[in-house]
Amino acid sequence: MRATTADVHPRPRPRLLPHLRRAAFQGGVALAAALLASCADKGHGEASFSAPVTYKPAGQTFELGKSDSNRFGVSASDFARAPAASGGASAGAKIHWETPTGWTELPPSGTREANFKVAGDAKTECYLTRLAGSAGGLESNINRWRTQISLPPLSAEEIAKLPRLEWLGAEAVLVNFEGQWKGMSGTEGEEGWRLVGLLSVRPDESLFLKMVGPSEVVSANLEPFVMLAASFHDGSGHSHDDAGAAELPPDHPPMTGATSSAKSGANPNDAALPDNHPPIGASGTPIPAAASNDSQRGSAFEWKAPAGWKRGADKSMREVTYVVDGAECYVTLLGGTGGGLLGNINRWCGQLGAKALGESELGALERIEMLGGEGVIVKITRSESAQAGTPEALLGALCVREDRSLFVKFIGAEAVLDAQRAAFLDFCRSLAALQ
Amino acid sequence: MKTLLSTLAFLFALSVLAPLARAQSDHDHAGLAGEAHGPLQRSAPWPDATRDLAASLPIQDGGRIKPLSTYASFTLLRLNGKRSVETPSGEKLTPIEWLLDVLFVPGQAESYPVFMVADIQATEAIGLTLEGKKKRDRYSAAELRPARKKLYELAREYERIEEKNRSTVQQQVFTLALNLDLYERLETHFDFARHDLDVTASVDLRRILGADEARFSQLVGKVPEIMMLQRELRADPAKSAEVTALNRVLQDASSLSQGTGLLALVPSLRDVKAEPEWHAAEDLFMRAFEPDGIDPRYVTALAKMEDVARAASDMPRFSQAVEALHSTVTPMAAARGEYEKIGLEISYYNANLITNSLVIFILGFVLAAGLWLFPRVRALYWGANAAVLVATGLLTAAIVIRCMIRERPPVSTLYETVLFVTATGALIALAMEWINRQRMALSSAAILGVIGLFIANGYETLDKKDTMPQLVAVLDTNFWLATHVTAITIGYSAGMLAALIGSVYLVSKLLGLKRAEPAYYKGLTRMTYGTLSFGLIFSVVGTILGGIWANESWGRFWGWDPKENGALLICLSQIVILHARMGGYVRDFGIQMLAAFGGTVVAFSWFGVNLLGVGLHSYGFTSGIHTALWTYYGLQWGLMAVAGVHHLYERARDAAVAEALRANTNQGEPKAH
Amino acid sequence: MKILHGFVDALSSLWLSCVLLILLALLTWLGTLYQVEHGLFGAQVKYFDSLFLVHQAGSVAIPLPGGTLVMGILFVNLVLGGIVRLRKDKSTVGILITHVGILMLIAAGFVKAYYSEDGHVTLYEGQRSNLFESYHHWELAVSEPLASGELREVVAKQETFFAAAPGKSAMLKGELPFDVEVTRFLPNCDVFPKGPMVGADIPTVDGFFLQARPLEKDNEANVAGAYITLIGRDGKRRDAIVHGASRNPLTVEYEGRRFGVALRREQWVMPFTVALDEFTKEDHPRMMMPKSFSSDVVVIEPGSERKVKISMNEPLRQDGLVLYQASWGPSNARPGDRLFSTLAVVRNPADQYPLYSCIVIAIGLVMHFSVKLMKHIRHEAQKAA
Repeated sequence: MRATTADVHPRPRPRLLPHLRRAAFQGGVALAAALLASCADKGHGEASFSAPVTYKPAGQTFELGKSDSNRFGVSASDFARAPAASGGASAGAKIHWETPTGWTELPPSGTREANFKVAGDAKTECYLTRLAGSAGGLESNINRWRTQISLPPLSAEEIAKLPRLEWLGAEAVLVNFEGQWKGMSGTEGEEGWRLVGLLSVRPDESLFLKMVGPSEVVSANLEPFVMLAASFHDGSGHSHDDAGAAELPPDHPPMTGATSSAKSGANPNDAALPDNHPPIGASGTPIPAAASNDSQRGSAFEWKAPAGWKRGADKSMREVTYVVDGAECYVTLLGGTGGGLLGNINRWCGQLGAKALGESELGALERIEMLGGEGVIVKITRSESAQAGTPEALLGALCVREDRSLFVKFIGAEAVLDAQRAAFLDFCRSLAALQ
Repeated sequence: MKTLLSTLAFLFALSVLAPLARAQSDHDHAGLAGEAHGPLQRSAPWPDATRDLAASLPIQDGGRIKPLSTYASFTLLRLNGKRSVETPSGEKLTPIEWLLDVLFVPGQAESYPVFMVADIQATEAIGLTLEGKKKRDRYSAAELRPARKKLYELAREYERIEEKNRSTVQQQVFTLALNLDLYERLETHFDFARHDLDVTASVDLRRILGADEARFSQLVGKVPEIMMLQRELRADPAKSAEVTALNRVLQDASSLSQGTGLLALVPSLRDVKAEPEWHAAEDLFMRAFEPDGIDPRYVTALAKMEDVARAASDMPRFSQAVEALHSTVTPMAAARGEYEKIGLEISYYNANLITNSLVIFILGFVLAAGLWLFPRVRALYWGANAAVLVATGLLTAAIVIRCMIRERPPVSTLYETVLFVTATGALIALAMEWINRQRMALSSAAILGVIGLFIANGYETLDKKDTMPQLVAVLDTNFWLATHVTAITIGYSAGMLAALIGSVYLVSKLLGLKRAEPAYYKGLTRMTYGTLSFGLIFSVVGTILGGIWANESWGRFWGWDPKENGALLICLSQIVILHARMGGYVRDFGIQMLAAFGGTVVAFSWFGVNLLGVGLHSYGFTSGIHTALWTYYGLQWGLMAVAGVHHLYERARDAAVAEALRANTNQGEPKAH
Repeated sequence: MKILHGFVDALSSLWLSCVLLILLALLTWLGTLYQVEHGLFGAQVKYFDSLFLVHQAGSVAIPLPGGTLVMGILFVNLVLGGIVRLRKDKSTVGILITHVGILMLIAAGFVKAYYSEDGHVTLYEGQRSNLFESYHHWELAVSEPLASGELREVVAKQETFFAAAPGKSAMLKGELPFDVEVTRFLPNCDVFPKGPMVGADIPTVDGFFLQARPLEKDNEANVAGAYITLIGRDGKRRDAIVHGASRNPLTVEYEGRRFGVALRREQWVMPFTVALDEFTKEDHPRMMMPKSFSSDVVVIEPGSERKVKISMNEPLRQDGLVLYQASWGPSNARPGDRLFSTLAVVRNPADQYPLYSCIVIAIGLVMHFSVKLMKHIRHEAQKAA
């Protein structure tokens, strides 16, 4: 057997010409040198751009002259202003929310559009991230979170089984993980953490709301989290659709299982307040108004307080709150158009269960002079079908501009609103921007 | 906003375990009229003809159409760890008989011990202490029921633990919960067929249905009228009580059909392309609400199922009802071209080809072993030859039938690689036997057959899933399955055979067999060399073809993916052996050692990389294989280590003997003078 | 000369082949296991694309030659020992053919490594593009829109600036009225506005700064950023930040011309435009297991349009480019939602070489071993007779 094999690969033979060997050797050396050279540390020093290439783009946009904020999708100036304009009214991004009681709102940073410290716990964070595009997709984001909390990735099938719900006008996936927190850098390593979040990946952008912290803190703050999630709205009224909007079409067979139980279940959260409901308790403890001078000023505006109105407790997002005869009036300032005129009116209509207005009905509304421009006055009354606890009527003034928008909302019993109408209009007219 | 709030709160309250959440809800249908129709106990065994007819009912499961018997068989395997049940009364049931009991006489089936619990600690953990249970034992649904709540609670807790971090007991509790949930869904599947709906609360509904009670199918057939009625009632504010009553009935019907999606027994009436999905009762209920309504043939199919469920107390009537259901659904399936393979698949499983092949391989091995003891008995030689040939023939037939059922090349799943490796390995060994007549090849073929089919059966029992599953998108190509996968698998086969021959060589050396026959050892080495050469062709070609396939589907030839690396490792190990032999760096012993080691390289590439859980090829992931794989590594490396030490010892001894001899002769010389 | 002979002998020896093959097998094995923790890309860089590496086996550090080095020497060994010095006669024809086939395969690898372009084009239904971009590599591009609607671009590849750091900046010059100096390159970072609450310890430019992030296991998830300085012909310097996730380029104006400067994934122009009509994902019935993915695209060339279906295992080949169905999204899309499809695009002059080499190798091996088998069978027959 050995005899047949050894002869195939003989020892070097003299018939090989020496120069062939030399060539082979040089080739080998050259190859090794080339390999070494190609792997040598480059990437600094001086280099040239390629020769110019000219082509006609098809389907891609190429826009010059955009600001840094536009380029990076975050705005430095907004950020600088953010601590003052608390309530998350960052311009450019029109998402608004109500900070849960006991939570501290932090200035947005990086891609975190809303940023909170949860219930005074230094470790527990909650924030909303908003990214352009799919941001890597649902799966990778869920699994990124799972990695952060030391859990194995979920398969696509498992992800498909996660609960889904409507949030900010699109589908969102709810996640609820517990494990060892490794964090973004993968170094920390704390046991017994919990991460709850909502992920909504849409064709144009992705929204992620995440609360993470020690399990007990997170568990204790689930309700504020839910309230916060529900309070997010982009001004288009999506999140303000009441239960009626999710009802099945009349022809549709009744559903059992999760959805129906969710509706019929006697859950304490069912009794939650509608958005922008007068805060219980707050209205009953008005802060004494300034003694004699009826001229008042807030962070961005000054105005004249109508006679008999009492100043209510300050709330986030609100410039000022007044209380009169059980009705509440407050001023909100939002960046940008805040969802537009019609959008806001119809959002209010939705809150009172009233029929939405059409574009054509907009023209018929009363106009007053406000902030050196035009303000629109609207009165909405509660519909028959509205839920218990819905305010009886709403009197509103809207002043919508490109850069920022002011809303004055007066809600309470219809009789009170009618009686205070003149005072309300005077109050609106008295509002003036501070320089 | 309310929707979001309440949904979120509800989901948090419920945690996120959807299937178990369903199982926990009570099976309480308040608006049902009277008791369920259909018996709790079966009066006599299912008649053979009826049972066989039921076995051949087609069902869509796992993305393909299969006989109900196949579904029954893998479901029972999953719960019970084997394909039969012994009832408390001593009856031994086949899977289809068991499934018929669960579906149609649940009151009887709940006493069958079908839940295999490997460790009694798992049942103790859920608070169940039963007299006379062994550490590893089977439980019935009735026995588990008192601990059901605790079981689901624990399972939900353990679900949050990553699978590999769960303790054995936790994993067993979790699996048991999933199995009980599956069982409960089967048990209640025909509730929709057994119950009548009470429609007395709605005058109009009573008018439409013409009775106080209605079967599910009757209601489904009347949905268009009911919808019209509903519209009329809604328009009239005075009729709100009527609307409520109507909705109540629809709600009841809906909850009756909930969860029936498990068994899609009704073929679609459209063609396969337009609608690949078959229907279960719940789909048909929903379909009735679509604008174009429901085809009356679907309603008929539902009615036939009701007849079957309600007739189980009366065997002749039951047989008729099964026949009627069979002759309703099979033409629907046949019209879509989805019934032709059912008969073949039933025959395949009835013929038990794999088990029979295994038995004959064992016989062949016994005869071959006899041949070692009585080398001169020619009858033994020819008997062993015939047995291995017949066994290989049966195995090949099994592979061919599977190809026909699936319309696929022989290998597309991990299970099929085992069958194919065994068959080709046995064929290569037989071919060598016929060339060399060394007898050793014959024994190797028999050993390989026995081991291979044991692994195949073990894999099936571990995996507990249909061994003819659908394939993910990238594998859906018969061309590459036929070329790349087949070539690679032949490479595995040769690699394993070479390792087996190498091991036989090492064992022979260790035991000191045939010391006087160097030709025996030379012959073994020639066989190893031949097998490796043969294997190398297929490994190299298969690996490159794999790259070409990757280039066709992902745009790159090579990506250092674990499975690709595994294939490369096989090629490299075989190339190293051949080159080292060529250069004379290894001789007989070295070649055999390397070939034996090559077996673990093949095993790593074949199963090991799938256990890593990374890469593009993790389609065959099975955690239970882990132990088996490491056992093999351990045995193979252990054998190599012992043989290596023994070899060194022998060489040292030989050297000492030679030295002593030389010393002797040196001393002896002067004496001659 | 004697030393040289010895060296060439060693390089061409069968003994070296065996050692190198074992080393390669060892690297392959270690690199496979490494992927479990560190991902494919990390394993590739450490074990396969390297000259040397240190393998950490528990607390023991084992220095090893890297994949590139081993394969490089193996290549030389194969050429010298397996072809040049192989005895050539009837019995070695098969071996020679096999070795030539393997060389062809290696040649295909070299061509692919140095002459291929490898990336993807991702389109939503209804979108079109004539560009495809790299998954991994970055480039710094300066684009000037021309009156004709075309873009005139110069680019610098990642290799020219990836090591830029304080004190080691990379100067890029080209046919431009300004030079670009990359002063710091961050392979994965976020861009943040500098606010009152944020204390950044690295430079802030116009209110923004880059914050480095640890590298992701999956290289595609890394987003690079760089601090650059633009230097006009008058010597005036302007600092700026470019970031891989920017929506629009940095705009600069020199000598009355406007330029866009962007750090982006390396991109290439295709000689045609693809428009995605529809992406189709089909599941197995009543399952969530995908059965097939396909993209219906229109290939638009000057004066002609052609509809093509690209599906898994069935790529489109056109003008030296191959387009594959690679991915899709959004992953949570509901029926009727607008989908996107990612088509992998590869320009590989050696696309079909592996097939040819596979045929050559198969012929060589079959020839060699069947000759041996025949000889053996004849031998056995003689013995029996």
